[in-house]
Amino acid sequence: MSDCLSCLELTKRFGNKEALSHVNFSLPRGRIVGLLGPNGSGKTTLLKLVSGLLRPTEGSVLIEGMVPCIETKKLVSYLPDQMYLGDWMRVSDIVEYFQDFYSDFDGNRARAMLQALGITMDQKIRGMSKGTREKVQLILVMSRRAKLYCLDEPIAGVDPAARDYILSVILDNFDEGSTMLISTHLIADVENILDEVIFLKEGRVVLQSLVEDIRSRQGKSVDRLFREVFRC
Amino acid sequence: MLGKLWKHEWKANCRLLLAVHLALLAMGLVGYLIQGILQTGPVTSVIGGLYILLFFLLAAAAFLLTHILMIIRYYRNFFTAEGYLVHTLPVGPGSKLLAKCLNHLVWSLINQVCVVSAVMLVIAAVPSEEQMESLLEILPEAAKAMGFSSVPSMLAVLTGLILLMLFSAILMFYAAISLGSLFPSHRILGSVLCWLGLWIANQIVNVVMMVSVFGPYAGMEGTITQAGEIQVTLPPPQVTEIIGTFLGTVAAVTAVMGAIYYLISYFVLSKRLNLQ
Repeated sequence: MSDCLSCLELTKRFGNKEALSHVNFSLPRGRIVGLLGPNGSGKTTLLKLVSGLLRPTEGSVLIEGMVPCIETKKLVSYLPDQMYLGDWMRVSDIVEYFQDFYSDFDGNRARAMLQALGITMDQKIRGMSKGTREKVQLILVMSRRAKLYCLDEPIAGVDPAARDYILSVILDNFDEGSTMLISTHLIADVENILDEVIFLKEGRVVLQSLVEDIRSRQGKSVDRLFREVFRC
Repeated sequence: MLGKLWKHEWKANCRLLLAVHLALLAMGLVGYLIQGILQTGPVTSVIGGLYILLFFLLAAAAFLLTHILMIIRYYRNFFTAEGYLVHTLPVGPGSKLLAKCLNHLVWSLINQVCVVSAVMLVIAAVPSEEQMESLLEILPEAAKAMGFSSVPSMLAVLTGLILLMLFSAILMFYAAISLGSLFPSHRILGSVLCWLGLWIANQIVNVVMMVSVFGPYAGMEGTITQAGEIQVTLPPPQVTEIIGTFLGTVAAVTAVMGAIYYLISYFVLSKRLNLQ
């Protein structure tokens, strides 16, 4: 059975700057993986390559054995670190949008989660706070029954209560046949839900390990190890 | 998928554009209804003048809003944060591009029909029966002079040519924006510069086309004026031949230029996308 995600000598350059350099790793199905690293380490670039928003300069990235294409976009659910919904849209418009283009989108699940947050279908994105907009985006992404979820900084810029909510949505809606790749630099908040971590430093993978192995063999938390590896 | 893209594109654009065009038609209708009283005295004439000014401002606004809104939406949808949603859809770049172009084309046509209809209402230019009869007499002559076998074929070809030119112009804007996205910074300025470059290239191609079509006839019993007009005296069959060659050449060149602009946008969207 092929891995859910494989990167082989994956390299991405923007002009003279090398954002990712010879990245190699594979992820099986059924894992929640933390893609950890400081700002500028290449996390967002990696997720964009997986989502098909960028093309590799060298090497390859494979999703279920396929290079990023229309078929892999049906399998990958991507949450960027930016607000991508049109201001003019209503919640009903965006739910219909996802329903039209993604056959794996569960509209009932989305509506239930939105209702639980007190968000009505006729609410405009324009009138929502930043935190609410981010929750709406997360709900839409997690309402897809995708094979690979790529979440870019899902808890950055929101209050602690919202962070707890986001993490609970991620856990409650995670399918054990899928893989989740969460990029963040807020390790302490996500550590407890992670099965595996990949440390990125200046575009290179410096560590890939199961969280359990880090705790049992090194006797320290992932957050502690992160601070040691990325000490300034 | 093209149908779904079209649906959402239409939904995004029609909120504002429908309101503006309905307002324009309503303004035209008001003008038609009140024109009888606008000439009755100095005060009503001033009001009439103000009305005409407002009407033409609204017509200009409708035209500008239609095209500017479409162009802004292309840029925002494809090259800003909204691109994270659009470019992760399981749809090819060709379909996304085509949905935008077709939507822009349809709204351009709606705009032109509304503006012409509103102007005709304001100046009460609804053709009379006599005028219609004269028009129906002239059209077959015009079709024959241009080398068409019938009026419907002439109208079909000219309509097709206008649509093709409009489509090509839209694709040129989109190609400029796509090329502008390749600039590391000041992308909007880059898009403007690219549009200027494409426009200049387009003009050069047009001049070459005109010379190639009319050049062979330039030495025949005529003169070329300083304005570049060719004044010749030719027997009717040669006039028909020139018009036919001209229309065919314009169609071919416009189609080729449109295809080039499409390929430019397609290439950038599929191979050089870099959302920031």
